[in-house]
Amino acid sequence: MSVDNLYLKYLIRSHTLLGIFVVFIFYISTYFGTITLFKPYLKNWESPSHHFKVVENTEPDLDKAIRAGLKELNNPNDRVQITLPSFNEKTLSIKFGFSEKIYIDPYTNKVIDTKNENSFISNFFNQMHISLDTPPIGQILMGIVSISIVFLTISGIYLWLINRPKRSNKKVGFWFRWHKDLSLLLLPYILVFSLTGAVLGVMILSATPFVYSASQGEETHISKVVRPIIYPRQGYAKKSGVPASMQKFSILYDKAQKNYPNLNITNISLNSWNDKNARIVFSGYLDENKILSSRANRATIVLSGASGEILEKKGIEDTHIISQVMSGFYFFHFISDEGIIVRLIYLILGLVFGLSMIFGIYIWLEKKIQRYGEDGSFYKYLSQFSTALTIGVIPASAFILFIYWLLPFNYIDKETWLKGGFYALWCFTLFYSVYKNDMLSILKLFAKLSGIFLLLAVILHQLRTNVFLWDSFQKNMDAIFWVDTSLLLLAIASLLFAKNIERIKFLQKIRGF
Amino acid sequence: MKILLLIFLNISLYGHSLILNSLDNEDGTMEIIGKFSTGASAEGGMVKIVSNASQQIIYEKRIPAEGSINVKVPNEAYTIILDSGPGHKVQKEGDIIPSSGFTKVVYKHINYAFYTTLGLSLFFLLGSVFIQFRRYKRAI
Repeated sequence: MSVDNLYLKYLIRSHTLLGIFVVFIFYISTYFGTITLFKPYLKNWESPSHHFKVVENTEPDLDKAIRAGLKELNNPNDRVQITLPSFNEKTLSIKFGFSEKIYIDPYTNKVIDTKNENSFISNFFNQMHISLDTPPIGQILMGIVSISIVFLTISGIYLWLINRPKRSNKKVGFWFRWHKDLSLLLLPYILVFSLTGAVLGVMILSATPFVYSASQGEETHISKVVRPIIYPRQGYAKKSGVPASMQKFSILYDKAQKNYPNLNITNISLNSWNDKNARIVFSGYLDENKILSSRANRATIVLSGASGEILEKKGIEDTHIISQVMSGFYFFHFISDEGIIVRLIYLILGLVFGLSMIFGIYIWLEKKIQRYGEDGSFYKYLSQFSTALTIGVIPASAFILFIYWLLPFNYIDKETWLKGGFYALWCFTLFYSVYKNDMLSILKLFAKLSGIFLLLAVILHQLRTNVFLWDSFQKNMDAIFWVDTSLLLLAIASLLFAKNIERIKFLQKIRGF
Repeated sequence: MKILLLIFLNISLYGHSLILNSLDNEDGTMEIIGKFSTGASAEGGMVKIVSNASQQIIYEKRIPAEGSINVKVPNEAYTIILDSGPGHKVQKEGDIIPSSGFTKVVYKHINYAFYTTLGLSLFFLLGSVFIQFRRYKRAI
C-alpha cells in the first residue's frame, strides 16, 4: 500500500498524541471495570448481612418471602419490583417506587438487617469505572475518551496494514511489538468496550439537540421521548377500585413458567395489587438468546393477579429494533446474566488490554527520554506519573478494602475516610515514585503495600464478621469464600513479587524509566 | 449558542436530581416534600430526621403516594435526609424552628476526614512537583 509520507506522519502523530491524552483515563476505567466484573462477589463480601448459610437445591418460598418484604414496605400496591435470587444477588429483594431495597434471605424467608450497609466498595469502584467518581462530567468525559479509543483502534489497524510490508525485515522495539500484538489480538474486546462506552457515555449528552428538534422544541431529555417506544410500560392497568383477593405468588409463578418454559425469570413486578385489575409481570432472559434478551430487552409474560389468566406474552422478536441493539450492547458490556467463566475470560482480556495500554505509553516515553536524556525532566516526571497512575492505583484500591473493615460501620464520616484515604494513598504513590526515581524500588514498595493491605483486609473481614475461611467453605458461602481466598492469594503473590523483584529479568528493561 | 444551552441544560437534567423541600404549617408541624426534578414523586423514599446534637435518627417514614408527609417540628436542631436508593440521597439542615425555639445544645460537626485526606493528597502532589523541580534545577 502506498501512502503519502506526510499524511502518514500526521496519522502517526495524531495516534500518538491522542493516545497520550486518553490512555490514562481509559486505563483507569478498564482497571476498575475489570474489578467491577466481580461486583456480585464483592457486594456479598462487603455486606455482613449477606453472610448467610446457603442451602443447596432450595428454592425460596415466594409467598412467604414476598409477603415479608411487602410488609416491611408498608404493603404498597403499585410499582413494586421484585428481584429473584441470582448469580448477581443471592437474596430476594423488593422495592417500590424510589424506595431503597428490602433484602430477604431466600432460605429463611426473613428480612435481612442491612442497616449501615451501602455496598460502598463495589459502588465506588463502579463509579470510578463509569465516571472517575465525578458524575455526570466524568461520564461524558469517559464517553469522549471511548470515541477516541475507537479512532486509535482504527488508526492503529491502518498503520499496521500500511507498515506491515516495510516492517517485516526491520527490527522493532520491545514496547512497540507487544503494544501492537496485544492490541491486534484484543481487537474485538477493545471495539466492544470502546463502542459501548461511547454510547453509554455521550449518548444522552449528544441526543439533546436531536430530541429538541424532533419533538418540535417540546422535550430536551431523550428518555422522555424514547422510553415509551423501547421500554413500553407492561402490565399497567388502571385501578378499578374494587378490592379482590390475589392468587398465591407461587401459583402465579408456576403458571408463568409453564406457559413460557424457556423464560429464566429474574424479575417480578406488581401493579394495582389487591385490586380487581391487578397485574403481575414476570420478566427474564431466554437461554437460547441471551444476547437479545439481556436486561435492556427482557422477555415477559403478564398475568392477572386475581384470576391468574395470561394477559400478554412478549418474546424478543416483538420488540423494537433499537431495544434489540441496546440489548446486545448491554449484554457484551455488562454480562449481567453470565457466570464466573465468562467473567474470568473478561478479566484476562482486561489485564492484557491494561498491559497493552501501558506498553503504548512506554513506546513514547522511551523515545523522549532517550532523546532528551538528563534534560528530559518533564518526560521523566511523566514516566513516574504514569507509573503511579497505572500501578499505584493497586495499593490504593487495596487500602480501601483494608480501612473498610477497620472502621466501624456506623461511623458517620466513614465514606469520606475511605474515599479520601484512597486518593491520599494514590497521591503518595506519585510522591514516592518521584522521590525514589528507581522503577524497581517503586514497584517493590507498591507490591509490598498491596500485599500487606490485602492480607489485613482478609484478616479483618474474618474477625469482624466471624466468618472464617473454613466457615464460608463449610456453609457453601461461595462468594465469601472465593473473595477471601482470591485476596489472600493475591496478597501472597504480591509479597513474593516484592521479595524476588531483583531476580526478574524482564523488569530490568524498565529500570531506566 | 442554543446548542450550548441545550448541552448544559442536559447536564443538569442528567441525573434527574432529587429535590427535598420542607414547608412550615404554622401549627407546630411541617410538610416534607420529596420529588425528582422531572416532576415524579419520590414515593417510597425514606425520610429521616436526625438530631444534630446526638446524630441519632429521631423520626423516619417512607414517602407515600401523595409525595409528602406531615411531621411535628423537632424541639432540637435537626437535619432532614431523603434517601431514595443508591445515588439518590439528599439532605438539608432543618430551617423550620418551633415557636419556643430549640431546647438542646448543638455542636457543629467538623469533617476532619475530608480536611485530613485533602491535606495529605495536596502535600504529596505538590511534594512530587517540588522534588522534580529541584532535580531539574540541579541538572541545569
